Amino acid sequence: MAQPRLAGRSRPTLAVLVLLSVTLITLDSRGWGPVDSLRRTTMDLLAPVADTADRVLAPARDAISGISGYDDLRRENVRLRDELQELRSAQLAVDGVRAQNEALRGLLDLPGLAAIPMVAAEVTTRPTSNVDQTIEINRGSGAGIEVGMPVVAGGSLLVGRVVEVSGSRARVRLLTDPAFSAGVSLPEVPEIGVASGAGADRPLEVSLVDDPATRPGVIVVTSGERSLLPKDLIVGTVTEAVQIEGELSLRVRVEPAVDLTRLEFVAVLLWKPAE
Amino acid sequence: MTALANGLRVPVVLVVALVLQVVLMGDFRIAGATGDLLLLVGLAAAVAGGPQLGAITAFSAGILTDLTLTTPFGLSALAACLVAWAVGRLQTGIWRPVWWMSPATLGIASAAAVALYALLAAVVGNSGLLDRQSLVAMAVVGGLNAVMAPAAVRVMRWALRPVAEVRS
Repeated sequence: MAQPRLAGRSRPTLAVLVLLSVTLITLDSRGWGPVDSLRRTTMDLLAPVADTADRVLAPARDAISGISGYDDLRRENVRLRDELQELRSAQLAVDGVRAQNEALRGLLDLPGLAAIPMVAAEVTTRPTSNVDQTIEINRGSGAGIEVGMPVVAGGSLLVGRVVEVSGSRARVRLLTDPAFSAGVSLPEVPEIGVASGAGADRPLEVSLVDDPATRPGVIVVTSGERSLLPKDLIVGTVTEAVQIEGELSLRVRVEPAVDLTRLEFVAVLLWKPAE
Repeated sequence: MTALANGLRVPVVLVVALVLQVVLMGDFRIAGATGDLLLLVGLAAAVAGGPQLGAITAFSAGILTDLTLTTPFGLSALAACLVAWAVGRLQTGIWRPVWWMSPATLGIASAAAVALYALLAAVVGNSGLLDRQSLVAMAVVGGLNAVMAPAAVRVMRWALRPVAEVRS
């Protein structure tokens, strides 16, 4: 009988595959160069195929996201119309404050975010798995992008950090990825916290010493300290600040400022931390 | 030329699954989780071709998956080949399969593969996947793969037919 013979031969095959997998995991954990090269090559090889497939499959993709997100879209549309009206009023006040801030920074010779050169890019693939939150953009080392550079939307809203770069593409780890972390600060709170991603569609988590200034609605920005990111990038808004039982810390949840499910265009800040 | 074309069936299916995963699945999320077409292909190969072919195909599918992720390279391949081998062994002992067997098997096996991946990731120091969202991912991947199982098994029977003919 063929089938029992085949089943018997499968154990040595499985043993070889397991050994190979463990070897690859070990080599990757020690920073084995060919793995990064293979990933970059895969990005470059997939890019034209994915672009073509994207154009062909766009109607199907739009139908799928429309079906799966129809109710959400309708509710969000109503919410956004109300929010837009409030934001238009607030924008006028913010514009005035920003102009004043830039003028003062100029007088004091302090570099602001506006002084950092940036490269605009289009998001070509959204997160495609359940285990990491990364996107791909259509600019790479050819545009001056390097690993570690921050990625923003809308000028100063933090999206994530570049983790892989090929000639024409770059992979960006979103701030919701569990492997993402950044030093953050809140206004009127002296302590700096570390914000960590907690997965897709989930707020970031920050642990801070209990302080009455930490309350829902407060804006969280990058601290520039204990961080590989420049200062004053907007991370998000505090949605919850809960006292941890038996400790002096607060567990703070921060909703990202950017809607990461609808990213289409981002900018990479050509910035590296001072050595 | 015919032999070459026949031998390329499985790699072609794997590449098509990879492209579809990258282009389509990013926009298709249920409760924040998405499907895993490459895992489906590997497990379907186990149903269609037995434990040895299933483990090899699932390992290859896992390598392709790992090339598009930032998590430890080889982890998807390890989880997928172990589960595919188990599925293949289970299927080998069944002489009179019923219609619901492959959807049920692939659904449960897919959920098990997601769980195994999270456990293995914790072993290598990435414990961020051991959370409630992994349970959601298990349900979504298991459910979607169960629905797509009949078509996937048919495709893998076609793709593995030249290999099965050579062995017999």
